[in-house]
Amino acid sequence: MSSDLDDKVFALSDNFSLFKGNFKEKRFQLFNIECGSIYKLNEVSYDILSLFDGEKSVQGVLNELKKLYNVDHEELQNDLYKLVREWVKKQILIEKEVIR
Amino acid sequence: MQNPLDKKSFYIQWHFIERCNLRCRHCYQKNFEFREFEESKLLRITDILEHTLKKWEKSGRISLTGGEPLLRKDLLLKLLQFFETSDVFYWISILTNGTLVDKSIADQMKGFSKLQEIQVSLDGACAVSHDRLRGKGSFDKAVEGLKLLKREGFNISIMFTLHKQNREEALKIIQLAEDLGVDFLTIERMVPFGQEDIKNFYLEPNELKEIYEAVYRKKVEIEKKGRLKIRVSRPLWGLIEKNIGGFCPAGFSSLAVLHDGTVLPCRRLEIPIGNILDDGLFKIWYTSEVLWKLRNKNLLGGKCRTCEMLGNCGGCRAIAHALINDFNAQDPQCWKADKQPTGGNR
Repeated sequence: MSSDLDDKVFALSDNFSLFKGNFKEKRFQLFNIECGSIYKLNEVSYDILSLFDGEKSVQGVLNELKKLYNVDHEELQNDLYKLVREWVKKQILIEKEVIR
Repeated sequence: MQNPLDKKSFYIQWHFIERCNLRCRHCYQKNFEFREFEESKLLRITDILEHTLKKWEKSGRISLTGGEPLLRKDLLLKLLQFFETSDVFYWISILTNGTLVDKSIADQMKGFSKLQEIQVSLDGACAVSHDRLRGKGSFDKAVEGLKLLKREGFNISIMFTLHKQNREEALKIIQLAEDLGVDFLTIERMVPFGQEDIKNFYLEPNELKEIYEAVYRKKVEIEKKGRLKIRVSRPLWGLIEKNIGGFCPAGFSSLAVLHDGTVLPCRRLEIPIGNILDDGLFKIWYTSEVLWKLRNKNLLGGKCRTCEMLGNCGGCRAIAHALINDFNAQDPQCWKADKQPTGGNR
């Protein structure tokens, strides 16, 4: 099943910063450096957000995730679409113009 | 007043002015020419500080200093007024060399209920030792300043910056503090900047240990009978007595802001991590690699990381940076640790 998202390219907004740290336990966080909000992430969300580099399309990100996680393709795809829509709505991800 | 040890509190040392009327030989500051920000920029900084702490739901403690803060009494009073009426900041102090204190400014400062402490720097217990480092006549003026502040009812404290050239004064300063009716005394190691400073001021670990032991014995004795409290909440003190000392808050709950808005993890750890006006504090606090390294005790080097005193010490990161050029290295003045070569980084 394809989506209008597949060919779109996103990057983390300049207002956000991702953090991964090895303290007593691993720590994954997303910071809004404009308003100061802090979001605690799980490792999977961190991995997914890290893949949005402003170059890979959503389909490209999905392909990378398939290599990382041994899960059902359709389930992974649906979860990814859902997350991307939510992050776009919260302006965590910003769409990049693709020059073709 | 909220307990300052409460984890909800956050400390800021703001050097809002660079100019100074003294030229102390051991000063961390090397330039004195910057014309301080105009009021509007200072107020922008106060707004950023307040907004940030509000977001973090922290209660603020702030020290206003310089340079010499009493060179711009007008600005100092404006800042006091701001923090006095802030619902985020609950504790204010002023760090001064004491030489410009007069009755007029004391009267004007009396109205600020959150002004909980005025700290005067003394580097010797007499004019000879103090003036050698800070300039002729500065001891008498600083002591007069302390006396006046005491008479006017302020809580007063002394900062004694300990190094090779005033080591003999450490015990004498305790006596002087008691005689002057001082409320708090802090004895803080000097951070040397460069080879010249290392040569002139640096105390070897065993020398420091000897002084700390003597100071601690005197502290126990003196606190039994008087009002003076000697602060021993910094790294290495815990090696003298396990119930004192403390892990440095740099990177966790404190920051220093300089006259031009430059932010440092600590005034003595001279690694700029951003500018409060250009970057804001959120960006600095969340993205500074230096701060993240300071927060991660797993990254501490040498014996600090595995030391049983880690939770109550951790060493001084500024001294490690100044001497070894690695702020996560073991504290070079720790007498428990192996001796490390001291290269200096400036």
